[in-house]
Amino acid sequence: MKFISLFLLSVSALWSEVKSFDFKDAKGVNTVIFQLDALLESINGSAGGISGTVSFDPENPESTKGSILLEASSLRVDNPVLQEHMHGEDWLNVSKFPHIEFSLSNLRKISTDGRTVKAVADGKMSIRQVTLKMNIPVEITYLEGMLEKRNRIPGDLLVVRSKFTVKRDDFGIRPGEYLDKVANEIDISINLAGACPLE
Amino acid sequence: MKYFLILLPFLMTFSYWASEGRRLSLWANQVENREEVPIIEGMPELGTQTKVTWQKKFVPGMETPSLGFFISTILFLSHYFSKRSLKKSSL
Repeated sequence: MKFISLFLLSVSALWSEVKSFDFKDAKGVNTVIFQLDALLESINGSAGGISGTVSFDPENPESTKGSILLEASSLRVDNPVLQEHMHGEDWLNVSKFPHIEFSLSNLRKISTDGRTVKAVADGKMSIRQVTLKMNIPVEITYLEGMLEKRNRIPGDLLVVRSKFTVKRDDFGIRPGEYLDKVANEIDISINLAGACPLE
Repeated sequence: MKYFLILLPFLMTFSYWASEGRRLSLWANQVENREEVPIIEGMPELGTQTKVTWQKKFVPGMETPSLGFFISTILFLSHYFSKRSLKKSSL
């Protein structure tokens, strides 16, 4: 009996297909949007330098893993002085720490609604070489065979959406300083499309 | 007329700042445009993505009416003190 169940498990593992999705968007739409609402000033901006891969199995979404990288120098705000300060040594120090990374280890609390999977993503966020465990609510939509309609290449699409907050003092970015102008809490919104072309 | 000329820098900078959207922080030299685009063209039912584009454009911030106010204050004070010194010398 044990042998049969092991056999069935291994067969099901063979049938389920793990697909690797590349988040370097050929269309250049993938963007991270951020907002800081301090008492005296509100800072809004976005960043487009996104890359990374996520492996996703539609039959087994809890095993989803991978990493999303954001080029720190791609963070933009509308004021040139503010942007220079944000990239500078005292804040993000983009020349020394060129990437912000979220590495996803698994999904849990999964609920499925048609093509969409809602879950909590367990992973680690690294900013300025400070790595912290984070649990982020995500909504993943698997669009089988739809890459051709988006990028004119046969394959699948994976759309990852999330809204979450990080605190800059957790990552050692001038903790406790300038809180009236630069809020501690950074609201982040992501809406990314990853491509898995057919080989 | 004198007082109108004194107030002119402030009125001009204030109206320029107001006409450009009354930005409450410092000036901007690029403007972010956000647009919801379908993930797959022609199929918005599959969801949308926010497409962000940046446009080079100068937008005055709070520093512009503040500068106008500062100039008007300087003009007012110089006018006021010059009037006083004229009165003193005539006495």
